[in-house]
Amino acid sequence: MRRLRRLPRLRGLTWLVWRQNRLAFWIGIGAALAVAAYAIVRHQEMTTAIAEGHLDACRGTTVPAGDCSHKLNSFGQTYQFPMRRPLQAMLALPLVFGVFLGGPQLAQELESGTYRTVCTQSVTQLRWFAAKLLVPVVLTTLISGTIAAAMTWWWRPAGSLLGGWFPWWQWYPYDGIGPVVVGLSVLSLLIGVTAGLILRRTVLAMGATVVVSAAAMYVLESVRGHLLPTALATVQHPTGTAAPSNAWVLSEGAADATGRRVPDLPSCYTADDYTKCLVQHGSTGRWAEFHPSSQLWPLQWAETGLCALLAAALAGLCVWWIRHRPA
Amino acid sequence: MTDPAERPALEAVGLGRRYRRGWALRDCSFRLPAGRICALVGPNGAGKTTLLSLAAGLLEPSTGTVRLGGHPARSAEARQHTAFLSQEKALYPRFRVSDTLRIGRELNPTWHQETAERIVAAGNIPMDARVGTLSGGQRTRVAFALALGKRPRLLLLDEPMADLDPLVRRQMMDLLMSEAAQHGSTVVMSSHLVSELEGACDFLVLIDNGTVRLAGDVAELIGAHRTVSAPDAQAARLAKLPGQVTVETRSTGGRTTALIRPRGPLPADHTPALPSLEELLLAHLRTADAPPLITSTARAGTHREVTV
Repeated sequence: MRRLRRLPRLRGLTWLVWRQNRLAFWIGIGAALAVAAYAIVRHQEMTTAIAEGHLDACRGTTVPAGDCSHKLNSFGQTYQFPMRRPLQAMLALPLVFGVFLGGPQLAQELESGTYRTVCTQSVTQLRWFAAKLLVPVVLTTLISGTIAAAMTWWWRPAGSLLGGWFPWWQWYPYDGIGPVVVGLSVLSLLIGVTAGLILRRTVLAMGATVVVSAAAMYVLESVRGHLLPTALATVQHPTGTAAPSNAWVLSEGAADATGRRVPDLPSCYTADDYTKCLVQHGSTGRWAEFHPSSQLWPLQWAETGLCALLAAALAGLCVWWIRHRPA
Repeated sequence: MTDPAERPALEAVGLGRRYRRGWALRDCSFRLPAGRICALVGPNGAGKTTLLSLAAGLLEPSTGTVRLGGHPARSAEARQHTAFLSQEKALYPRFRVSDTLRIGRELNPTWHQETAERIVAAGNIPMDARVGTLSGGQRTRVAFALALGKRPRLLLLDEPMADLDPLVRRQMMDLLMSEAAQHGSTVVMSSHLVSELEGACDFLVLIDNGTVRLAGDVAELIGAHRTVSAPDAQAARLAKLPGQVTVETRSTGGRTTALIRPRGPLPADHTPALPSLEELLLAHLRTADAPPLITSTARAGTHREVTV
């Protein structure tokens, strides 16, 4: 209790919203700290293993043979495999915030009528709404941010060592690390709050939050590659890829000697010498549009910004709804 | 009009509220002087809750205005000095009683903790009990403590006694009356039960089908009406007494009784009597086309006149 007394005392609506959600907040804070502790341990183990196995020399290796291949493979078995399920589970984290914190936040008050008790104290409906929104948003940012930072810390040594063997742009780890976790969580929270305000039924709002948040995440996943301009590369060898190792290739194809894009030549698949056939038909090069691995964080921030924009739009919709259709 | 005590505690002018289904309240105009205990009476669905919600600032009017102590209903001033107890008296079930009172303390600058604690203690409710574990009467008491702890100038109560047993109902009424008297608060209490309010209220607003039918001082309203009765054979005469407004005529047991608003001297053979509050209300509720009566004390936007 002495530790608590040193915290600034919560006042007014902030206190009320904290008090209403404190169980959820403490569970979230506890879970975030547990994940952080676990990630620190796993990160430590991994860096130790990398140092002891002199794996640094193998960084960036792409040839699937030799000593490095064997070493990286066994490193992956021990350290990357156990990381996959948690990273996949991170996809559900935004939904947890949306369904359990966002959905009931207003719906429960509207359903039970308790908003009438609060909104007839000396506070306006809009100030009440602001508190009901901001306190959970701050807590969601803190909790999801801590978890995202922990997962990033855990993923980082494996991701940078394994490179293209553990591509950064796949839905895991991408959805489980970095600022996008926070962005998706806040967006899902706002979807839940909005659903609760409009539907006014707790269970209905929670269900709608799952559906709408999942749809939003699907759409964001499909547009995320186009949020930033791609890099274009053309090389003059008829097979292989024009993109560097561990790049997120969005599209690629054949090119001629001037670098112009030419259609693939399916007839060459049956030729005795595939490469020679391609060259004979003028398909001497390859082109690729891609995001290099250095684009991971810029892409993540762009998507996070988009999430924040959508969340702000939903908050605006809520304010409009409260002003024009007061309960 | 500068002294707050002189301003009407509640004044509605052309107040209306429309839902998707239609008008819940239409062209409602009346004023309630400060310090009165007002009964807001009407059948279920008459618009009582809508009127109270508009006054409490929970709803925005579709037409007209409602002012509390001279301030618009949704202004900070009005909010600070008005307490509202909704029909369901919704409190957070997982909060302790002390947390519930803290809501009042955190959200109201005029909060008076001792008042609230005294009301809770008088019901022998432990402060650390969770609201969800309390009985209906105890929960109502906590809700009253939350409303009265604000020390409101205007207290709006929507069917406050509806789900209480007669004993608790009496306790709550006494509590309410003593708190209101002590602080000079104005009280508006809605009900569809007339008996519940008789004796406690000195002001009345009857609302039916979204319009105000009667408004004014109870004694004044009763004084403006007479019941006259005659054998059924002479019923036709009662229906149109010269120069009087007949609200309703009813025939029971061979005699016809009429409720009228005298506009001049009555014929000597009718022995007019003052109606009871209940008779007055029921007669108006049964006769939808009786003209509304707003007494001078209750007329919005006017100063006191002598005529009724």
